[in-house]
Amino acid sequence: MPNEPFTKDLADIWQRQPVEPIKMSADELRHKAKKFQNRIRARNLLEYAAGVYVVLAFGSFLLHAGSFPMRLGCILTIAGVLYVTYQIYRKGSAKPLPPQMGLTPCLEFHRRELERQRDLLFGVWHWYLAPLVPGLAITTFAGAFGAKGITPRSATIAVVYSLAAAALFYFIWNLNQKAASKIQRQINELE
Amino acid sequence: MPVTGSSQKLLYEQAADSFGDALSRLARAYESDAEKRRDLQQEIHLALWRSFAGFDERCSLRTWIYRVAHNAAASHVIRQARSNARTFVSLDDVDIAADFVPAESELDRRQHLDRLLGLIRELKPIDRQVMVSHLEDLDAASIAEITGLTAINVSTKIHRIKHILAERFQKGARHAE
Repeated sequence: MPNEPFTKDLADIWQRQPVEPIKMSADELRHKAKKFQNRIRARNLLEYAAGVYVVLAFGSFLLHAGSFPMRLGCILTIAGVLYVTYQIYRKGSAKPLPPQMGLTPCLEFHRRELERQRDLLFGVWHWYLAPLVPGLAITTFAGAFGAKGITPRSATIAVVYSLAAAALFYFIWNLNQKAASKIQRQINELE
Repeated sequence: MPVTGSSQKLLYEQAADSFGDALSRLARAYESDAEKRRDLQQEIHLALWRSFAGFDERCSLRTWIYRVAHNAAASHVIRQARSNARTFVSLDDVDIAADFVPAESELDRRQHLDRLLGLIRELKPIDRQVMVSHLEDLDAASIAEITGLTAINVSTKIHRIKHILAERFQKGARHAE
């Protein structure tokens, strides 16, 4: 192989590069583990904060809601947000690296990581968008028709709000499908 | 059978003593920013320490260490790529345009190393794992065991790596003469 001596030179350059090896004491490792856990917890809390904000907002609407449909809409929205937050915790939250990584060859580990992300993005309608639809739809219609019933103005407002929400949901769904397809291509190219 | 706490400590110390330099080079292959690299190196050491609680000698210690280190580093790369929308290329898509400075002085060696690191960091994680392992002088069978690729696939990738390195560095040398 004519390239053999040359790649040996590069391997030599690679192996003789200046390095800063570290060795951590048991205390340092424990401290680092705790720091990582805290960082992960903080990142997850940030993800849940949006959910808490929406729950508090719709909780406040619920307390002041006059009509049954509006109260029902608020309750369903809160339930939807709680479900989505639980799903973020279950599927998408940052977790420490699994301790059995040494048993898993890199290709398999990498594929599993990508598949987990792909499934999360592909299924965004089921676990992220759909649970919010009933509550938001009922509050939109209850809000539009609540005071004066169905009038041309309230019907227009309801339709405009519904179309805007549908466009937003479609945008989010489409963005996630594209990202999932990109990950699927990466999976296909793995070997 | 899982190891005890003291064995876990011993295994970690053995790993840090015997593979500390290689782990440091591995972190360099995955992260260019010095501060993030330090974090990554610590993350790899932490992952190793945690993993040794489950070390059952189903594979060699070396294979175990490299798997854990590469997997931890690949997770880091995926996280980083997600936050800055970066994409990587496969060995087949690497631009092999020559760009050579003869590596005679220490400065030239450093330039070679910088180019080599630049090339490695362009690669997708699995190709990066093969290339780094190859530069660490691991044979195709060991790389196959670490990565989970077939031996034939590893050999093909190594062949491609040698071709890329020769095209990128050696041909330029001929042009420079």
